[in-house]
Amino acid sequence: MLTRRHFLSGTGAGLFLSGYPVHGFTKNAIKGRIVVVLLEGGMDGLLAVPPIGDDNLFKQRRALVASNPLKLNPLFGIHPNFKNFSSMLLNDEASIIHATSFPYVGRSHFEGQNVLQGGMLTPFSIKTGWLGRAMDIAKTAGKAMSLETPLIIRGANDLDNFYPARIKHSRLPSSETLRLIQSTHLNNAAKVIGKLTKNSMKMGVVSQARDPLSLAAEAGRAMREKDGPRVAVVKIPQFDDHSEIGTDTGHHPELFTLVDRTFGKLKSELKEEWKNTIVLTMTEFGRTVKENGSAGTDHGYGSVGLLAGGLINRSSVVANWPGLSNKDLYEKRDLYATIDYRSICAACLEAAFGLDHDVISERVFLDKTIPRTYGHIFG
Amino acid sequence: MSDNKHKWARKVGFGFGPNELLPTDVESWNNSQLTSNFKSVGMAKRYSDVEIWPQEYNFSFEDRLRRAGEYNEGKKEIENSKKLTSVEKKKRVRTLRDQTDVALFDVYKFWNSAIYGDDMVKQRLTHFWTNHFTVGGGGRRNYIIGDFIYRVIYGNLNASFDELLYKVTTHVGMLDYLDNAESVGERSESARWARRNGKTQGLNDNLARELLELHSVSPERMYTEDDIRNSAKILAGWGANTDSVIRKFYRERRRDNPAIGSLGKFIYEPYFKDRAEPGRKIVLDNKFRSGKKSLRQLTDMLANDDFTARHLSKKLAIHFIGESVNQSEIDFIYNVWKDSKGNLEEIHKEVLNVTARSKERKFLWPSTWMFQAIRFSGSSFLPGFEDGNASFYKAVPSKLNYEPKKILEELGNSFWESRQPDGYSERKDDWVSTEHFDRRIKVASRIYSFQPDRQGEEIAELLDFSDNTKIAIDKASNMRDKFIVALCSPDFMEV
Amino acid sequence: MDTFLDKLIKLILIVFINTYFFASSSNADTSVLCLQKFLKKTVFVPGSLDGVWGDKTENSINSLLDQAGMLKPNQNISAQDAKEVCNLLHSSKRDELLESGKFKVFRIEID
Repeated sequence: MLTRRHFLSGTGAGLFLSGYPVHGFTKNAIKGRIVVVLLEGGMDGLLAVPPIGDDNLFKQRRALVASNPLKLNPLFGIHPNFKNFSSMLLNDEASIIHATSFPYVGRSHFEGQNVLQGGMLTPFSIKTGWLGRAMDIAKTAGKAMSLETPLIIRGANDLDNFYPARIKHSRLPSSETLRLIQSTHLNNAAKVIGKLTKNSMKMGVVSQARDPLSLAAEAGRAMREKDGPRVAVVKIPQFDDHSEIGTDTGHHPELFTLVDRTFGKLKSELKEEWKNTIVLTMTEFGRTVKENGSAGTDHGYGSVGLLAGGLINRSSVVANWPGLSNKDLYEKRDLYATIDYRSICAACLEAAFGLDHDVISERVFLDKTIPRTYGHIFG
Repeated sequence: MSDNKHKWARKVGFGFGPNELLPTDVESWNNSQLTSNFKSVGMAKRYSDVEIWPQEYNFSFEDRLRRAGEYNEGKKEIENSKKLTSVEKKKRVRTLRDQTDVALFDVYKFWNSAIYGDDMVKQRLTHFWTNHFTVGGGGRRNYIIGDFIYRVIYGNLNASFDELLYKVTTHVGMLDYLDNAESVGERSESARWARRNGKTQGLNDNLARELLELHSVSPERMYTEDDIRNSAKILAGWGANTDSVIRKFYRERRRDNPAIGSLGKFIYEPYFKDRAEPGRKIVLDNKFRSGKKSLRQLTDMLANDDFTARHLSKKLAIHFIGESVNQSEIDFIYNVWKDSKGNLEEIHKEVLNVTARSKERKFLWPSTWMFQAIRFSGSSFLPGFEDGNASFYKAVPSKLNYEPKKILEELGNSFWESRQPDGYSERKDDWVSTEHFDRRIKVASRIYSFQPDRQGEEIAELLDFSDNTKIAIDKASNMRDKFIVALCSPDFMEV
Repeated sequence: MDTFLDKLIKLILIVFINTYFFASSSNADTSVLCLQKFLKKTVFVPGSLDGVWGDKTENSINSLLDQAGMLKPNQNISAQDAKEVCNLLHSSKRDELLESGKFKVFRIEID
């Protein structure tokens, strides 16, 4: 079987060096869809996917282990609130990555989100996002389900937002007027207004709901269309549970339910396109292994990534488990990240867009050392 | 820049409306903007005259807690009632909320000051510092955000930075927002009691981290995790979460006279010795002894650190001049910061000086843009605070009155919304999206519905718009559309 | 009585047989060592690099090959396969195996 990598080293590399855009190696439009679910605030991976086979789990965070996790294999369980996701695990359309993070250890939300979205190891060093750069190479369109255009997709050529307004007695003016407004602007602003104008001329009833689940449904619906966007970004905020994080019930577990239902909604709206889709969660860091003084946890390092979609070949938990005894922890407090999550993002780009791993590591992440995890998830 | 007074007023304020007199001399206007005392103003009913903002809508901290307590207790009573239907209960709770609401008045004051107040430069500086020291909204905190904005931020615009930093760090809102109210020293009495009773209590380093990272020295200072941890130890014992402050206040005032006493100290300097961490701490090579005074010593040390001056000079420069500000412009402000030892009045004066010399264009925050649009055009978009009967303890206000609060949320720029501690962005890219433009265009249309005195073409003339934009305005087929094109052009969105 | 030639033939036979067996077992050691050295570059740790086929080595090499999709169902690699596996590790499959061996994949085993 001729792997894409070998093909690239013969001809693609030449194309690459001369600056030509390197698409997938067929003339067809990109079929794969990617949905990034941004979990803002730092998700507690050990609460979501407890390593029940590790004796130290109970020693280190006795009060923060769910009483009835679903056992996945001898080492890992999953919080019972992940009902849809667990079904997907049984159907070989989901996978879990554990003890993973972008290589950022600063524990700051706003630096962490910038690293996660920008894809660079130094915060605030780049104005585009990793997904945006990949979309630019693959020439796909994207949609952010938020008021602003998040950094993660900046750099793409064809971007749109969806977050319905609630301003009474107001309607957009005619498309002629919108074009006049556009004519006063340059560059990105002009392009954005052009997109707004195009959207405003579409017929049909549009959903007005703004909660993450409804936005995810709208994203799924839009991505199902033949000439719809291939990328969507959905945000789920409020994971920063410094106090009262919850265990079986409580704030974090409620968020797990929301994430779980988001997966379910995306699958049900994407319908026949689910088989071409990969959904992945991203969070800026995990949380401390031990509980803090307020029945919560503080900012940490390693966490989990949840992946789902028909592009996945066989369900699994991918982890180089670092252990939870004090000497195994990062700075004696956090779960270590032994898998660079950029490699997971790269694998998803490879699976959905057909981009070669070398192209992704060099032109999307600007780092040739990122390992290839495609075979572990999609192979 | 200074030859066009209209442009200047937009650069550092909210612009001069059609009924405002232009100052004869910009320099002395700048000076009086920074040094005069101003009274808050507002408009009682649309199309009436501007008057002094009613004293009854200036809520003291105690007033705020009283109203919050009344809401809490009243809501409980209603919900426990056996006689009311659930529909009736909901209606009464909504009425109670409207009767005890404070945030809505704060929002009205915020709008009125921006549109009708003389102190436009101080308002802009208040917006800047409120954003720098973000206290996210939500829940009971919305009752006290107005206190934070007016008493702490606005009230210290001419003080020294170390005073501002201490007052911000010890405000109940900040202590609650960044979870310091939950933070307890591991060797404190409280933690020892908890351990004896099978509970866990300990340090929470959220506020300590943001104090160093965002509010003062910034990561450039290369502080360590130990520095953060030790700062958290110094901060432990400060703050009670807003809900418990409200409850305690409500109980106490039933016994005492509401004019406080010991409770006052509790609100304004909420320090609880039994939660404090004993012993010495070292932060950035400075030693601190245990006790209440150590926090002031810590914030003073941070306020006077060179990196704080550098960090904040840069932020001020970016806010008024724009993203592409150059280092020499920042240095001017930094030098005044150092020479004046952090005197904010001097620093703000230099910010105005440097801004006046700059040729850069700044992409305005949506809220700033909107206030300028209303003020400059003379539109009566803002409802009066008496419109729809929003007065104290009268009937339920009409739905119309929530619009100012909602519009700020729709623009993604409200100070009463929950958000991340790093606040609203200064980068143009963060405010350019299809939805953002959708909002601006719709808001511009709403503003037009309330009879602006200045139409699109006049705005373009007075503000010296580009020929390209003037042509686009000219091509628009009716007055409303001309107005919208003018306000949504880069000429107006930037300054 | 043995002639000198008989003694010589016996000596040669003894040396030959000893050498043969010695060489074989040295081949076995080298192959096992070859596997262990390769495994050390992966997350499937072999224990010590001693050329001795133990449980750790067996578990690790089986896990690696299984994860890389190179084992037939119910197939189990044991000591006698060492040489053949060593050849595999130096074949065109080497890169694929190294890539797969960087991360551990735990299957879902819900009933």
